[in-house]
Amino acid sequence: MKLNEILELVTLLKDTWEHGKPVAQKHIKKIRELFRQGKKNVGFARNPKSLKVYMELSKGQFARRYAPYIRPTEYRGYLVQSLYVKKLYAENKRAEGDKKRNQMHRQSPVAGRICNLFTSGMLTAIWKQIDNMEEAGLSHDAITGRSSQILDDLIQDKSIIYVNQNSDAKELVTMSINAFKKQGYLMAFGAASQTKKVEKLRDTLQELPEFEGQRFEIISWREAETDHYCLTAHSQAIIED
Amino acid sequence: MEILDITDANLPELLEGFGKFVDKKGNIVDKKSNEQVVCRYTHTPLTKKNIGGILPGSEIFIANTDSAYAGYALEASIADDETQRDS
Repeated sequence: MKLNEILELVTLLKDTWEHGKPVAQKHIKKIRELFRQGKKNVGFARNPKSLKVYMELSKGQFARRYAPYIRPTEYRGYLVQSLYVKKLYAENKRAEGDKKRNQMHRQSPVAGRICNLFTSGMLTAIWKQIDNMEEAGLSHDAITGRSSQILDDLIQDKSIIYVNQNSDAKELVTMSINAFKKQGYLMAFGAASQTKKVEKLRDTLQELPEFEGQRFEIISWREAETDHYCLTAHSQAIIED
Repeated sequence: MEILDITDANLPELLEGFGKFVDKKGNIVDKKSNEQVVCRYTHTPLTKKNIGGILPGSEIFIANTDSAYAGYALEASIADDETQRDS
């Protein structure tokens, strides 16, 4: 079918349904044939507005660049949903953002957790790791495996080290060594007020034999008018897979 | 993509055109396999009450949830990128 024929068909369907009349099956079958040919001119949705919002978000740089590296595929959907929550908050639509956020929490514990991690900015550390792994020339599968594992660990709160005002410097070092031995990577998060502690932790770890030759990086981002930092370190064995 | 509304009124004829029907319990069933259709992204068994979309790629049925819409939208976007890279 040519484009103008498709447009005519769409108009026919709209007009017929608007007048509460049934549409002949031959027209629906033409749409089905378009689907089979891989054409994406038309679709049907109970909530077109919602679908359009997510389609717009999915065209954005973030969704197309990083989401393909995340498994399972349900988690990708949760990331895009979280993008929407963040967008609503950025537009000062607090009530709507809270509603969507609560929906995600009701949907599943994982969806809610991913939303929290995303909107707090903590997942920035994973995106940065993906950038590093791409730069190192790892295959798509290898990057997917690593980043999905890190996301899984964050969801289960397995790998996060929090640096706050009560954190003891020696304990942070011990926790970092243990995390690195177990997971092959390190992620220590702190807010702006803890910058010096995070930097000191990095300086201390860099001198330790357990971290010899490792690549340290402090990633920073701004969320809710606060600067955040994440100290990361990756085992070279992982990067050079 | 032009997205047309699914309504209670047009759902039966849409389903018929795509080889599906609504059984006595309200479940959406495939005519050939006689199995209930499930959402591609949430794996929710679909009924006339919870169906959210009939979408190209090639024939994708989804639930009426944000999760399903987000899942479809992202997959479609990634597929478009791959098609453009290959061409």
